[in-house]
Amino acid sequence: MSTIYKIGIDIGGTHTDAVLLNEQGGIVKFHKTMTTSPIEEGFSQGLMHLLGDLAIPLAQIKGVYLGTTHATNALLQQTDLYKVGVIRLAGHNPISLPAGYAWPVSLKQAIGLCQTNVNGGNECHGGAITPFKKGDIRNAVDRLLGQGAESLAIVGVFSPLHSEQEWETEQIISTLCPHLPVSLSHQIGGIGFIERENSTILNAALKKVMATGFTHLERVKKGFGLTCPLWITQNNGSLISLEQAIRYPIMTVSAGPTNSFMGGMKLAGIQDGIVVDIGGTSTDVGIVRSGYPRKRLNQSNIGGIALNFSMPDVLSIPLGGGSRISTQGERFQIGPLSCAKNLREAAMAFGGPLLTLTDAALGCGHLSINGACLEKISLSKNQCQEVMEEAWDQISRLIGRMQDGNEKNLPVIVIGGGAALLPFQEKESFYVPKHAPIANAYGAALAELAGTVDTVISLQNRDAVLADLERRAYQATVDKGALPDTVRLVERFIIPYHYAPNQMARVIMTASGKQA
Amino acid sequence: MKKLAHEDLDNLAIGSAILGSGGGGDPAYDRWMAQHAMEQFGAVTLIGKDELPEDALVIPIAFIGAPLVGVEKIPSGREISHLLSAIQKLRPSASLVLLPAEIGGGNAYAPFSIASQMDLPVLDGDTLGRAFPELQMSACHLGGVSSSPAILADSLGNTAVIEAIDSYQLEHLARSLAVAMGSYCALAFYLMTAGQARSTIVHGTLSKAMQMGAAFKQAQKNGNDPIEAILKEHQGKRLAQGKIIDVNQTVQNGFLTGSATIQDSPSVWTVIYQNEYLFVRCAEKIVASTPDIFILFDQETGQPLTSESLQYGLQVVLAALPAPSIWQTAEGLALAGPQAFGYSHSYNPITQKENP
Repeated sequence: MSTIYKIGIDIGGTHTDAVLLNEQGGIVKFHKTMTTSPIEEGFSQGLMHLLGDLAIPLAQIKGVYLGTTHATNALLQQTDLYKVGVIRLAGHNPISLPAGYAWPVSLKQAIGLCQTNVNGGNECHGGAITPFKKGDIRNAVDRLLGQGAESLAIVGVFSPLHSEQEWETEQIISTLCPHLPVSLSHQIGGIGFIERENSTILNAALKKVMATGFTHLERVKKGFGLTCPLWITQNNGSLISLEQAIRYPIMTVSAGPTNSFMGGMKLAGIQDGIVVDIGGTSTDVGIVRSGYPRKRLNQSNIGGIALNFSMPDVLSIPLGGGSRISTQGERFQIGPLSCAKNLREAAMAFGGPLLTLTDAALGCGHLSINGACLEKISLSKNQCQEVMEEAWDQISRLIGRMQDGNEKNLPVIVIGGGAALLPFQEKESFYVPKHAPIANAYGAALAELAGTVDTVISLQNRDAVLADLERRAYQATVDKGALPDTVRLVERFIIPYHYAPNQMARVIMTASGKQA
Repeated sequence: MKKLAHEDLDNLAIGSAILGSGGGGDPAYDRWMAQHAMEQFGAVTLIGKDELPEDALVIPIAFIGAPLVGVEKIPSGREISHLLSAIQKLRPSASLVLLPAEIGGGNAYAPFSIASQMDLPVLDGDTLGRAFPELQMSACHLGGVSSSPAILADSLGNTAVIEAIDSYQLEHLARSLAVAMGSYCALAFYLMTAGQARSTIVHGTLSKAMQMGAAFKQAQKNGNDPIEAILKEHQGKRLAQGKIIDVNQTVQNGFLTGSATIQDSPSVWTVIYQNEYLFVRCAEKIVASTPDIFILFDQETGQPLTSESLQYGLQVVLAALPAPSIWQTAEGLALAGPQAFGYSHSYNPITQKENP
């Protein structure tokens, strides 16, 4: 049998990295370029460098694995978002909490959030709260379009158990306005109205950036003669299709940290550790245990918004290679503004007007970059050292916040484009692996396969039934090509149908494992 | 007299989830609803028992039913105003003072939105000193206050007035109505005069819960273990810590009933609940029980978790606080001790010291 290869790509806010791996996970080739707008140019450049003079047949490439913070960045920077209208299918007309309450005001404005309540929704024992009316939907769409909505979020009370009204609403809207994007809440989350509504609104807003950025990637890939599938990594570290990612961009919002933490640990060849990812704009810290990122189950949130799915436990600060340095009295302030995207033009060492963390690192002599001119930096060597000490303090405080009792003695793995800014190699228990700058793309290529069982079943014989479903989720994962001894249960949701006899419940089990 | 600030609402969320023994619903939503009302209509005034007007009609308020339903079918925001309209028809000239029926989870906030909207005072206290699933389990019942008339209102505006012969019958009737109202509705009961309220209710629990929340946040800010800080201050005890490996629950007869199993190797602990955490089992033996207060803290965030937010995979700390003194008397135990929930074993306090 001939060797197989994989391509990992990471489209970050600043850089687009591409890496070609062999069967053993060894790095054959890699390429780092700036993230472009539109993003497919950078994607295309990455593929070109990997495949340009490659001596292996393209048929031996088994997949392109793409990780991206594209959706996350759109949220954090509040750009490229659709204006969102929310239709609550809730006959009791709840006004106790409006949609988007307690959200950051700027984000709410950026997506022009508007909301209307209509008849329908379900009681927990089944049956509509008030009868669902088609006419209500038509009026609601008119109202929301009138208020500027470009994408709709449909949220029905108890829709995770009774999805019919949400489907019907989508149908009605698709005949009224065939091109109006619609997001259905039962596809996105479980019980917990407000969190599910939040996730659905964000999904509706993110459809713009994904639709413009991602629809061309498949064509670009084919243009290189690649017939293998294109996969996108999702929040839980497993893979979804490009089409799914475009329909459910919210599923990718925390994939970035997952990829970088898994990639960092793999590059370092260890199972337990703390990963510090220093990018152009921000630094993320997370903990990996037995090879998997520690998760945050409750109170996961992005940009200050409560969501209802598990995410890796990440702490972030706005500190990166492109962070701008300002003075605040006697002290130097790092960030939050960053010019990571055009560092080579804007930073002083390259003749630009802005003082950045990269300048300070160059000025201390920790870092050397071809073409940098130290004389152009407006700080003395001592001042540069002061800035770098401040950066070190901030990063160590961030690591300290992530550690608790059991995590004190873990090794710290530093990755990302900013790993070279500080002399981490000289610090005790710190380790910068080879290829640290492309850990994200490496992590994406190693993303896992997941198998899900989603079924309605009687739990009268509870333990046996759950054990059987768990086995089926395992089997589904193995059938997709995962290595049996790496497969484990990652998610388990049981939503009882409270009114039905025989303890009927919807059970969702997801298992995940490494690719064979 | 005290005007409540947003920070007080914040602190109350932590304190009420601790004192509620897992019941009353996740206060996250209720806190926001109270804040939303205060932003529109102004701050709520908290008064002490000495500030009660003599002609006061003191009204304990709660949402009853399954908290799991309340986080999905969120309140319309008009339930309590339906209750009060019905009460004003029964007692037209009284000056209304509200209080939460129980200082548990989201129910601690039940009076706030309407109090803000109608500019009514809220009395600093509750009628349980914790949370319990059934309506007769109340200091008012112990103190001989009549539970009727009781008023129920659902989110659509349906209102019912019940004249029950005693509080057990009220529990029975109200529960059936609550199921018919979608397993979640608002209730006012044990209406009191100023004199009755002074001698009967558990005073000061709203400010106690707010102080608990403030102490919790202070410990977090100082880099100390907030759970330890609370347990030390209130004579509590840490029982177990580990991963939740099973949550088996169902909405039955209008309650969320079930159990959560925690793996604390090598032992396995089970917390049994009926809205509130009531019993703790280890190695097939009941090791702690109601009326002691149980808390499951999320180990990642330190936050106390209410019963409907338990999930497979969460890392938790299981702890106990001593029962409020009214529940440690013979009468209190007969009403809400283990036997009241059909268990034969007798109450064995988790900490001998009483909660002040």
